[in-house]
Amino acid sequence: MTTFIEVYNSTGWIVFSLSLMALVATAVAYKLTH
Amino acid sequence: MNTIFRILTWPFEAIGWLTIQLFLGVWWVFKAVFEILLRPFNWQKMPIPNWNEQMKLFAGAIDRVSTACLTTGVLGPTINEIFRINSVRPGEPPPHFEIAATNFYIWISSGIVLHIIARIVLSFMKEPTK
Repeated sequence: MTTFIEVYNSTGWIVFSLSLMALVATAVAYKLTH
Repeated sequence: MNTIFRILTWPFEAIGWLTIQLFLGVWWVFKAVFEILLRPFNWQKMPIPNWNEQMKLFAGAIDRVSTACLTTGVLGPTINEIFRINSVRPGEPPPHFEIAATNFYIWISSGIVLHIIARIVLSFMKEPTK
């Protein structure tokens, strides 16, 4: 039985990974421009 | 253990996904569409005040996403647990502590990371020339 918050959990992992990837990309762009 | 493994190996998963996308040729389609969409903006010759406003707008958009993360991941489940709005099954037990704690951790840290990204994006603003 899947509860409401467990669905959020899997979505949260995806958002978390995407935000980390975006942070790395932003840091690389900062290093390239500064 | 699985959590630590996933945190440590996400770049390899991302690289594998990118390799697959390159192999499938999705990247070239994406690049062409992106260039066509961004061509009217004329990034190279954009006046500095306009560039600064673009960066402010982009940072604000990222910061709104971070607020949305907190709303969906922290406020939403909490209010759902209090009022049981979206619980389809009545009498559904509250979530396990580990699941709820992981959920909060993921969403809160995503919001913090997105806020940091917004702050870095703000640093891309240029000084106006006299």
